[in-house]
Amino acid sequence: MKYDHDVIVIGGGPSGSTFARIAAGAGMDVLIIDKRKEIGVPVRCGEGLGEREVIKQDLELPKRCYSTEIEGAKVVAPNGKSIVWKGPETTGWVLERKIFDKWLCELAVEKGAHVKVYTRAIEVLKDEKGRPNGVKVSHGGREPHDINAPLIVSAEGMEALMARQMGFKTVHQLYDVDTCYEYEMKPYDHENLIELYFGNEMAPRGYVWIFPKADKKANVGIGVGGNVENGEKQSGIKGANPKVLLDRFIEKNEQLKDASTLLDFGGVISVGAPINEFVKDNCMAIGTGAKQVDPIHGGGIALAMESAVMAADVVLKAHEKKDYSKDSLYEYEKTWRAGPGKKVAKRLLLRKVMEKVSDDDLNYIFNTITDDDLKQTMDGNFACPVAKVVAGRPQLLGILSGLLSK
Amino acid sequence: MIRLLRILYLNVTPRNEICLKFLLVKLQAGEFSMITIKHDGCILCVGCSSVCPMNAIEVVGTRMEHFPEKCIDCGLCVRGCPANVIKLHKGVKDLKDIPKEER
Ligand SMILES: Cc1cc2nc3c(=O)[nH]c(=O)nc-3n(C[C@H](O)[C@H](O)[C@H](O)COP(=O)(O)OP(=O)(O)OC[C@H]3O[C@@H](n4cnc5c(N)ncnc54)[C@H](O)[C@@H]3O)c2cc1C
Ligand code: SF4
Ligand code: SF4
Repeated sequence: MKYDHDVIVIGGGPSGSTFARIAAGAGMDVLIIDKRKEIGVPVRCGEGLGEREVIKQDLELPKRCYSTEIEGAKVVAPNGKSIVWKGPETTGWVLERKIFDKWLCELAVEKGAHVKVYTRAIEVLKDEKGRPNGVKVSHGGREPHDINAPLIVSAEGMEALMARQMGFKTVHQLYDVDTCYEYEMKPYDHENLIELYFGNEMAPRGYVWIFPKADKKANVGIGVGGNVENGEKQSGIKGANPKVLLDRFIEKNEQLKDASTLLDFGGVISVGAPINEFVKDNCMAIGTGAKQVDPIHGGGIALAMESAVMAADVVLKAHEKKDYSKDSLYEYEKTWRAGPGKKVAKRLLLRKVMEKVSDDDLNYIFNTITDDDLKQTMDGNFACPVAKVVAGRPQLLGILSGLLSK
Repeated sequence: MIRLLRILYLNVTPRNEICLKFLLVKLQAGEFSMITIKHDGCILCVGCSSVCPMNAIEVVGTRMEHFPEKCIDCGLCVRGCPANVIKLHKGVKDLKDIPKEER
């Protein structure tokens, strides 16, 4: 069979562009298709990114891609007590996703990748053995046509409908997603810290974030558990209503009360476990489409780029052998699960334990632990912080022991 | 009835247990619902399609489109929608029975 391209990447987000940059850089013929009319638009993200992750890939982030540099994080307990955590782990940027995504995609184009926007994949084409060998696309709603390639990479983000057709289990359960709402607001005075507010009443099973941006702007957003039932939704169905909760938070915040809203949007982000397999014959899933998202804070840009690098390295080897079978691609899954996968699993454990902790206990925990304990917790070393908390409040042992058993 | 058969046909290999469960409930009750999306308020976040077990909501062009023939009326999309613009009309068999302003 004659193929149009070596690989088709569905989705031009951070994962798709990163993958294409590396694959095209090594001489592969890569096509990115994205259903959006413009890469990066509309933005649906809090835009926070830790510095280390991008540096890992030897990329120099140009000034126009970010709005502010971040020095640390401020974590606020339900009673208002806060812990400020500054260190090399917490430096980063609040991006301009619109420009950032486009920049990443341009890098791929510079390496020789082809990009088609406003082009939606509507069907995965398969050969007689059921292995994907192309996609049916519709450009701007026009008559669909086929594009063929021996490898299809799904970098589709949350929706991942094509990945479903390839047989990946990308349907999200409500329990494992956070529904989010966010405003860009102005004016907001900040100290170059990202601020995270916790509380079961304010943001059940989630948090409110304030990510500062240049010119006194800030992304103010909320994520709440998809399965919480504290509000009335349409048709009398009970469910989380992030917009209402966010409005409530803003009303109570001295600074934000009178600030104006410049942008208003929402979204859903996975906070559960990654999908059970990332590769199949002639196809693979990377980034948020494979549910590779941090279960604690819902950050997915760094993980998406990291997994794209791993996947691209393996694909290059497979391309040399012209062998795109599952076995040949499996190395990507293996590397991911041995690396970032371990961290994500620990964060998931932490998320599941923390959602059982009441506001009062949360206040107590914040009173007891230091910024160093916070760092250890985020690194996955739970023993020391848990010991500290349980020493003063033994009744928490039942809940927190879940962190120690593994 | 035709819709029921179509749903059954599309579900010969149910994608997960939830679908089966809802399908059974539906069969027993013989009751249908309709999903509507208020497109004005929709922010195109694809939250609904990411939680829909049946691929019954998709972006088509520049708006979300719901495909009743695939839908099993589980209501997950209603709960997943951050903008709260999806409505489940219980016991309604036809779009025509829903007042225009609610569609
Ligand atoms: C409200 C909110 C706040 C967030 N805040 C942060 C944050 O502060 N920090 C952070 O790191 N992460 C954050 N995230 C997560 C982050 O946005 C994602 O993890 C990240 O964008 C994932 O990148 P990706 O490349 O995997 O997918 P995406 O960036 O989602 O890209 C997928 C692309 O695929 C395209 N596509 C999908 N289906 C098709 C198809 N059939 N045909 C053609 N194209 C298709 C889409 O148009 C899209 O452009 C947030 C998410 C939400 C919802
Ligand atoms: S009710 Fe919503 S989530 Fe459930 S099948 Fe129908 S469209 Fe999908
Ligand atoms: S979840 Fe709601 S707001 Fe988001 S795309 Fe679906 S209908 Fe629109």
